[in-house]
Amino acid sequence: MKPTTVTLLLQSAREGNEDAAQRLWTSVYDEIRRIAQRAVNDEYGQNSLQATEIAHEAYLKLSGSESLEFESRSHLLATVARAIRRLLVDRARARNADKRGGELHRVLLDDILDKVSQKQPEILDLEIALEELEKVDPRYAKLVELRFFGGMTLEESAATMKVSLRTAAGDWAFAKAWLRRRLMKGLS
Amino acid sequence: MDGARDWFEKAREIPVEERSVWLRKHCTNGDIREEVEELLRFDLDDPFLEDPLVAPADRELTCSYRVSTPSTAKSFSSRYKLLQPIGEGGFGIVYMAEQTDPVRRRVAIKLLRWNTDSKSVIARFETERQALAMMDHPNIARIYDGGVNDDGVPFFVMELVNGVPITDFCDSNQLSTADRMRLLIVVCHAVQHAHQKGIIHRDLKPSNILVSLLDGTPIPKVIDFGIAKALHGPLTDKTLFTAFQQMIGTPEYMSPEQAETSILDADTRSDVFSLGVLAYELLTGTTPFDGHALRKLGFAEIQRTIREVDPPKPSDRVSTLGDQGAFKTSKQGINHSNMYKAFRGDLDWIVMKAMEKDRNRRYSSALSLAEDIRRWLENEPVEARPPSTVYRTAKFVRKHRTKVGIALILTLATILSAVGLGFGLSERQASAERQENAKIQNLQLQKMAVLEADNNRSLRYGNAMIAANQSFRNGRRATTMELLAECPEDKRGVEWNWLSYLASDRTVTILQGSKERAQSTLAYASTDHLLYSAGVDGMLRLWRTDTNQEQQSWRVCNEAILSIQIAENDGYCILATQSGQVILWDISKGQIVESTSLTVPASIVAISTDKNSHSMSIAAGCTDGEIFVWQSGLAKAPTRFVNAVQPFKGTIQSLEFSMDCSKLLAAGKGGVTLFDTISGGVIQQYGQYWSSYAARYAHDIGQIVVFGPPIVKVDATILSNPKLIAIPSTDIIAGNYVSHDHSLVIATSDQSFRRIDLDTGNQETLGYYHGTGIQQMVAADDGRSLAMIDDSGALKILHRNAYASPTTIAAFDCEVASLAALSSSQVFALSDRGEIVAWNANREEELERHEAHTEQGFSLALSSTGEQLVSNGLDQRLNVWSIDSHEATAGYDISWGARYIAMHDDGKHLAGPMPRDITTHVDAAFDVEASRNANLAFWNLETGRIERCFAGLTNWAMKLSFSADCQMLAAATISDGAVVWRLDSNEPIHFHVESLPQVDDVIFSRDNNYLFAAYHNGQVYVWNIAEKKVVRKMICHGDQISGILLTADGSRILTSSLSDKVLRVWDWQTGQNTAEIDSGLSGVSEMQFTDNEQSLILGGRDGRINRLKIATNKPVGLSESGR
Repeated sequence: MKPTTVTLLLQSAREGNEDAAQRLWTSVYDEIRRIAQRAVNDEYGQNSLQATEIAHEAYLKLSGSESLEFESRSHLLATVARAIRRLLVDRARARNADKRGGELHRVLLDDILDKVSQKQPEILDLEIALEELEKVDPRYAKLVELRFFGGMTLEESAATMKVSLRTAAGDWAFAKAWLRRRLMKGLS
Repeated sequence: MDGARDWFEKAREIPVEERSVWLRKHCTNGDIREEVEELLRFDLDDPFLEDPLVAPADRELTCSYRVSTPSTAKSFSSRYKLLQPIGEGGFGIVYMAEQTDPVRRRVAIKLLRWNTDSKSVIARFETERQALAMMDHPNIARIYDGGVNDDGVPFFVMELVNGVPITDFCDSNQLSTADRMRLLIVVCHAVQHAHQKGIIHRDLKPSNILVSLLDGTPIPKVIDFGIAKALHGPLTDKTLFTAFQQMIGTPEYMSPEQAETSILDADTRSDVFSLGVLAYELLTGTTPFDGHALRKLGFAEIQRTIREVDPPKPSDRVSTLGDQGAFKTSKQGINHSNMYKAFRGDLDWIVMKAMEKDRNRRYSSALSLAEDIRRWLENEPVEARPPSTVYRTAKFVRKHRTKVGIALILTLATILSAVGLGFGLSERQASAERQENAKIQNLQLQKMAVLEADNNRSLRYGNAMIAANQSFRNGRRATTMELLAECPEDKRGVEWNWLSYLASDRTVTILQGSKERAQSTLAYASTDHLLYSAGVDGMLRLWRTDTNQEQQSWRVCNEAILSIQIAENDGYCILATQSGQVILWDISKGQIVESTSLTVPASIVAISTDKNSHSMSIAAGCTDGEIFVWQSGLAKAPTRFVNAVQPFKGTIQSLEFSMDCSKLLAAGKGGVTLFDTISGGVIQQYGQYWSSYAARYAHDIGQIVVFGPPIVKVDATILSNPKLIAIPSTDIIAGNYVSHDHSLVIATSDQSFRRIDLDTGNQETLGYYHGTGIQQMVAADDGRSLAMIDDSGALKILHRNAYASPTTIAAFDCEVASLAALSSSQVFALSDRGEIVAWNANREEELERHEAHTEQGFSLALSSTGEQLVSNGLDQRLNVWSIDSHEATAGYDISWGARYIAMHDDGKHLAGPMPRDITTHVDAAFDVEASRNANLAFWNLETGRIERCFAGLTNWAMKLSFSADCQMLAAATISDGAVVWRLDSNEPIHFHVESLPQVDDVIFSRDNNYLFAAYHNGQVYVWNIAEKKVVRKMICHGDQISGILLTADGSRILTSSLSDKVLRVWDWQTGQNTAEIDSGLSGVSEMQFTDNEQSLILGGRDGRINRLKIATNKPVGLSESGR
């Protein structure tokens, strides 16, 4: 991390003048950056965003948000998970819109099916499915957000959502099956 | 909808094949049932969403995901350009890549995810490289290259195959059964080719057999040949934990021999087995064992299932699959009932023969499997046959091996006696004999069944312990507790005691919380061992923390006291009450000095360090965020301290004066503010991002520690240069600074107490608390205890000697040569410099110190009576010490021959080196000539004479040990293996292992039937002494073992190593590694139990002596204490 980049960034942030707060933010920022690094790595090169770029955006989104007060570490991580989800979705949408005939760039049906069953879903498809799942019960979508976008373990997610581990495990299996079905059906 | 969720969860717990029936029976709502059934079909065990897009922030280092970074991967070699990822497996990610040199071509590159063991992965790959290069077959993907990239990540370069897994190919193209079998024949031939080149695949499964269409012809290609072997090293440096991890990869396709011993114990017939499983799956659409269900079992259960459970024949499987079977098999283009007929018979037997548990009964090669399938296709008689009754019986016997032996002999006897009939035995006689034999046989079988069941129980217990250890390490203490509670009592051993102790609540409740006496606040006095508390009854209590007893109490008021603070010299106490009273209390006089009243009650009070009550500064922080400060006692009106820029939004959590009283540090909801005490002005504020804070002065290092979700250390005078010191993966409930060792003691929301060393940044867990929450937690400044008040108002103390972490009780400036301990209050150690020191480990106090030897010290031994201590050293002296008088009572000149000495249980005999001048140490009757070549002597310490000698060694003996019945002596030797002498015989019995001449330690089992010998390669062999047979081998450490310790019940051994931080616990009857105990040392040179196995005393290579509590004499209730 280049100190100058961080300093500039922090200066532009809301209420970012105080040295102590800056330093605290540095740690928050680092955390987001690490998360973003992974996000880029695992997007199989489909996302043109660079790690630092995601981190900057996530940071700015966070610092610009209204209620910037964290109760706990898990609260912070949950917030970051949400920010990452938003970022990736926004970015994927923008990229699709940029390219003329964005649809053409979408991978072939076979590939998607393969991806859904073997690897990970395409981010925009997952977002659509997630939003639908949210309507079924926000708890399921939240769990997917924490785990898939936030990198939390099942135990951490359960603690964050204040449900038992057993409930979380059941929710997780259900959410996965539900999303998989939605993705398979939606694309066939 | 929630209904669907619940039905879904319930149905998942039912075996796959029974779900439909179950749902139809129980779930009456048709819509929900349909939905659930559909969802269940999408409930697959695959990586979908399981690998998160983002790495867990705290655990980034342990994840080692860096291999998946395209940018770093790109740079690993100029020869390959990674294009795009095309697949992902348990071991890493496969990329499509472009090779530029020496030829330009598209290749597949597998980058491994784990880079922990890259050297050996590559070393193993190198050994196969030659053979792999010779493999040239159209149906095998070529392996071009392998190595490590610039980041040290192992990679393999393979022929790029554009295909889909064979099972998917068959299903999506609706291949007929015959076509599927034709495809399998091609695969068999490919595998046969590799086998002829000496390469075994070891991991054949559908995802490793890819099929593509070439001009309309399906071409299968087997990928990853030679990779499984490179990935799975021999088990030399791995514990069971990792072996388990490796095995659960794809247990469905694994042969019994691989499951039982290791992935490496595979030959060509193991591949035949996997091909059999593949055939099974191609026919029925399912693997013989459901992978999902299999993975839910423990290690031993998976092993057992693969080894012993016979899967249904393909035709039976198809007929029981019902609808689900139809769902899958309809893809074969024939209807379901025809399928049953098609499989039944020859095809069944072909598949079952390939999947025989005993590899000798399988097809001898992939080729003969292919041949049999061809015969089936061409309607010729096949080689495979249904097993005969004789064979089935034999199979039962094999399963129960030796135990059946006896019963079998008895059965034979029955048959023989029946034959005897023809030779003139009367019918009645024969019948009686048969009945008698049948009875005996029955009894034997029953006995065997009991033994078998017991063995299974032991294995299950061991698995539960492994799981409990893992969950504990991963911070899931509740799971650990559950697993521990479920362990059968008769199986529990030292590892159970240790883990229960470690995970238990070790706080001592010194005052139960009750309505009348619930405590609400506490503060340590500056004097050691004194703690003040106050509560709802208006009483101030003084406790002695060394005895846990109340020393004194005073009635201060008749209402609840919310907060107390003690002035530096313990002369005064400031208290805040529920009604808003602030009281200055004179402790020595037991009376109120002054008091005043606030409109809102103070949640926290502070008092300056001045000794004079009239110049004292007092502060009170209120529940509404207001702060009041009084100068010179409570008489004058207080000043209101306000931070207008960053006001407090609620309860003040902490309030402290600086040492010189010039500043006041306040923290709570809304941030941290540093006030100037005199002017009341704000010097600086800090942090508006977290909702709640506490802050403490670390006076002696000029810092302030702020406890928010992250802990931050800032400069004490100006709140600048904040430094993040730790974000534990949990939330902090309370935190204190301990000046004694510059550390923080925190209580966390996962119910643990932790210590964070500010100098080194190291974190350790001190202990745990049960119950719901903590009202207040304070730590003694001398580091000897911490005290807390829980939600029920109970006052609890956790003492340092009950901390979970090992404590260093003393240290030498050189290696600890030997240890002996009577109890933890009398621990003796001999240093490499020849010094003997005695300590009281409980009080961490040195008792005695002696220059015992003028040169290097070798070993120490205690007499069983606890009266004498014996030592020897390089100065060739054997010294005897009286423990009572701490004086040397005798000393002898000895020769070389043994490094260690061992005391006989009678308390007066000892085995050790020979005396230098034998004639002065023997009776007239002793045959001096015969003992010329002796290596070891049997000393009588009362007479100073030797009573007999032991010979037969070509070199030094290291450790010595007597059997429990004192009839045998064993020596671990440098070049003669393990040697045992019976005390009534002169013949040495050698326990020698080919190519392992050196043994580092040796001990007997409690029943004297077995010998545990630690060979120099880090393995412990268990010898049956009478039969001179190795009955078990345990791979204990990666390096030389420094010691073996047997538990009092004889069921477990502990092993230590000079190059290992952990001690390992083994159930030697099952060979399971049931626990790994952190020693707190970088390497352990010596270990001893003390206090009836409640503590371990450990000697370190670095000279430290650690004491580790591993159990308690109190029964460790899993819900002990407090509530």
